[in-house]
Amino acid sequence: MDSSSIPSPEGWDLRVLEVTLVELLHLELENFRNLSRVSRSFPSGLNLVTGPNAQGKSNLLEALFLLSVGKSLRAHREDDLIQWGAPFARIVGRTALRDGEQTVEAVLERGGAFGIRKTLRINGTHCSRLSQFVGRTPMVHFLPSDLDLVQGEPFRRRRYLDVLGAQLHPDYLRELQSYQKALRERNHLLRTDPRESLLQSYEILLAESGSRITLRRAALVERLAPLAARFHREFTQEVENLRIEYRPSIELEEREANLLVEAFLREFARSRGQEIVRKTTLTGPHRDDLAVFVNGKDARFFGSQGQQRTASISLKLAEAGLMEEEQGDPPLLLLDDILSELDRARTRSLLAHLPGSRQILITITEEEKIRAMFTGPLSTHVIRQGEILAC
Amino acid sequence: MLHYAQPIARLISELSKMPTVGPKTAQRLALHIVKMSQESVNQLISAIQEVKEKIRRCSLCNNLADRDPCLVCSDPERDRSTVCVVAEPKDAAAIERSRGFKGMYHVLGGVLSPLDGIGPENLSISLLLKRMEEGTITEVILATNPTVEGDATALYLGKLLQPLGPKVSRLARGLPTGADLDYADEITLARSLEGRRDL
Repeated sequence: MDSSSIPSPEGWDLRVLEVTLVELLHLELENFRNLSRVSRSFPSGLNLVTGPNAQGKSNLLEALFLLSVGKSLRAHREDDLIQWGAPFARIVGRTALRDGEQTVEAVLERGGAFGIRKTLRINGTHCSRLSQFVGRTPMVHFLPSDLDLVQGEPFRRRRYLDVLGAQLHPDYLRELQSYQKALRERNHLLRTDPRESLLQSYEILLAESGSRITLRRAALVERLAPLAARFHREFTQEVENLRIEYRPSIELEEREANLLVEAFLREFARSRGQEIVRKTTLTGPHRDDLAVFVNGKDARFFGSQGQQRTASISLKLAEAGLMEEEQGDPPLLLLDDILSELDRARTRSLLAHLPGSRQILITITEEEKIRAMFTGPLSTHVIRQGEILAC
Repeated sequence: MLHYAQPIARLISELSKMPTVGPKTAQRLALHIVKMSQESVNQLISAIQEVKEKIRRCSLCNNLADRDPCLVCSDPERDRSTVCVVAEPKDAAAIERSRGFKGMYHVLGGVLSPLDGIGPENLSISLLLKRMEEGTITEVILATNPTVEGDATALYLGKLLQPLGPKVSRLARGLPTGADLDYADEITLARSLEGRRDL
């Protein structure tokens, strides 16, 4: 691939890989939030999605990311994704892969037991399981809330690991889904019917599934750590050192799955009494965390806000970097409103250190801010009142 | 359903109470029944009535049957030392179709699902324990689905049964016959490896 396909910001070297893959060719939307009808082709390189606030820029990226993980990370309720008054929403993306093209489709319909019915298809074939769909269109979605990744609550960092894990290995998602199911069942028992014999059955399930998730996460963090450290050094011009450390809910002395299962079971046996009093399961991957150290200090508690945000960016870049390492191709990058949150120097630095994706979509209100930093060509898509203006 | 004469609307409403039957299907079925011959309709009605009159739970295995004990439980040729525990009558029917099993069945009538309010009391577990007390059963095969609910039920029963002495096993989980290793997902493959057998 021609390395000039991504324009370089002046004065910075933009790493562009020779072999690149997932690229969005065309996106079609119907009734997705405020976007009634969109049909748009996206060229390689930098795509700027611009327009005033509240016109639908972020919705476009949200729709696109739904094609990657099968759900929205922004929406509290999935029926919010369907335009008000419309019976369904539809997202169809045509993407280029190394071995041809792929059509990815998501249809959300009102109705059904959960208030919404979702149908996911790849090349017209219905995916009855989410795990058949996730990971087939690798993307990294960078939202303004991701800047709080380091400073925020542990669940944000678990979700960060899970979204990445699920995209890399479909089995990670399946394991996580059955873990969460068993956890809900056990927590319900703790609240309503805490008989030991019943609780124990679920403990075995949680221990087996939980140990597999714990080992997967440990491996994930091991791979992420050097990438995050490298991005952070570059990003801060060698001023700061970043170290990340997996903090599983249980001592991870043994990397042997069987021994870990035993350890979980011992922990359940030890804390069951307390769990019955507190009516919730206290051990397991749902209590994991990821510790982030900047220059040796725990950034969540002792870092400045600037340090926390920069470290968050490094983690997101590491996410894209690991996907590239694992899959051989850099993911499609979606940067939602990130640049407006950063000062000029950081913007410049971020743009310079984006992984070598062949295609990047960035939403921004003032496109001049980026244009000034790029010498090469870029495409602009102006969104106004839920429509992409022809240009 | 105001668009239909009242008797048709009533039939549609009754049919749509059936599982997997939505309003559209109910409508099609109802209109089909309208067109059916009187004889066919009588047959359908008598079939439904017969099911309600004659089908009961077998007092030994809790399966659905038209006699008590059921055909399997009263068959002298079956191996009384082995019991296969299943969630629903359809699971026993599936194993029966395979013709690979010559033992007895026990139908739980569901699986543990605390979130849906289904606990051990809602399953025919005490009946199973009563059968165990007779002492003829030496092996129990737990044949619940490999789902969270099925697994939890099997684990619960395993804990309950093991102290009573029988050999307790769980159905093997692994590759479907005729499957390609290449296409198997990691979990299935890992479980097939765990459950591998000597040649």
